[in-house]
Amino acid sequence: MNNKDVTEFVIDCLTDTGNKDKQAALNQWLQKSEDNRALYAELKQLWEAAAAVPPVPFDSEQGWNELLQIIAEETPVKRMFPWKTVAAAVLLLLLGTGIWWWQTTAVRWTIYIAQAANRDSLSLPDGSLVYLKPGTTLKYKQPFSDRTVVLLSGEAYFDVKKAAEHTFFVQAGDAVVRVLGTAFNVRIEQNRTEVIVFEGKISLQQNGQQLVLSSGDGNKGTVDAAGGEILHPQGDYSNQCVWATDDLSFENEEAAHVAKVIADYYKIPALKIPENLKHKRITLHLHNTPAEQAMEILATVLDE
Amino acid sequence: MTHDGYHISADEATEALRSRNADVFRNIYNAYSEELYLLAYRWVKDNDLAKEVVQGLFTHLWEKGPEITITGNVRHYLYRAVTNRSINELKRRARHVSEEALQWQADSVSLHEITDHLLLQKEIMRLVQDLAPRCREIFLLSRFDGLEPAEIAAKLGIAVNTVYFQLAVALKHLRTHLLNGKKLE
Repeated sequence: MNNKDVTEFVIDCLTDTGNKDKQAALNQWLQKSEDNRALYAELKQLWEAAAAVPPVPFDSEQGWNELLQIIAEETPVKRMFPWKTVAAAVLLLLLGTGIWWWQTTAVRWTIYIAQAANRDSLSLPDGSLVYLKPGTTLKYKQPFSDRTVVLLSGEAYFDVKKAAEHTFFVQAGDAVVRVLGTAFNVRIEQNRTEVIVFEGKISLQQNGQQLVLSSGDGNKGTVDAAGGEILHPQGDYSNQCVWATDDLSFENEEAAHVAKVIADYYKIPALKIPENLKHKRITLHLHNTPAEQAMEILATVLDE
Repeated sequence: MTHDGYHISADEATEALRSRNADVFRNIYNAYSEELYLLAYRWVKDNDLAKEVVQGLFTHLWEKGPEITITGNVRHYLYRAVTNRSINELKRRARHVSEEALQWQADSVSLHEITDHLLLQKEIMRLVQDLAPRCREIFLLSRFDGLEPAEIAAKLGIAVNTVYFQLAVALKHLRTHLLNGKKLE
């Protein structure tokens, strides 16, 4: 074996265990040194581990995408009433059009999981737009005739397309938001659900209670999971929707507060406001404004 | 916030399933799905079915999430779950269930042993992809298809010595990268 590569020699022995000459040569070689025995053990381990490996590697990226499809498809389909199933079967037997009837009545849930790093957006079948924070999940039925979205976790901002004859619903935990055409933000937290209206009017319902919320002052409602009352704090909370709307509005608010909200939004260090101007009340509106320009506007308003 | 799926505790995982936290769920998937695939493959010996078992387990975790409580070590919980599913799938398809799968005792020693083994296999799979195409083909014919060197030589129309040479190249490559092996003469 002197003129043969050690690894080839070991492979030769591993693949031809019935050959007594080779096994004898192997034993002789193993007895020569501890190093030989260690090397043999390693090669044997790898050789055997490799034999039990599947032929196709697992692509977890692709697997994840397929999993999302499976989850969306297998999520409980709304069960038809038994008589409907029977009726469908009968129709299928009697008429070719039964297939059409079946297809249009089979409701499927679509699950959506926000994947983008900052903000994801989704167009619903009715043309309404949803912005989602990372990791937020929601589901809705296809076809979307009932205009109902179930928010499962996270935070989402809804810009609902107006359609007077079809109310739009968002179900979030115990809370149900009923709307006609408006824009609002829903956030599910551990023990409560919070709704802020950005534009228009909605009705927030829970266990028979109802609270109507309009944009502007008093536009936030909170429902807690324990099933208590719906809370309705004072104030305008529109700026909490800025992650989705890129819209910041301040109406007659203290400069120090305005500066803090702006700094938080642009993720910049706290702005220094001169002591004598901290309590100055200012009104300003920023929409999709770049950071430097926002600073300039704030400085100008402060100087007025 | 935990970003690395390997360090998610049982409590965090349970909470994530309960609240359907997709970020944490994805981290768990990314961390463990490949190992689970290898473990399922060990029992079912069928790569499509192994993948199905893994996807089925995660679908179940997502759908039944609010009712599931994970205890102990997340990896071990998943290993047990995927083993049970593999056995059930084999039974359902009236396929043979190996003694090894049935006897597999999920005690901590065998769990640690199998973890090491699966992580080694995971690395082997990755390293095999780095081999030159001809070398990889020969290595897979030997290891996966279980062909003898002489059979490979006949199949590919090459000398048996070439087969040994290529197999040795592959094995040295694995050893150099996996076991910190010194370069062999």
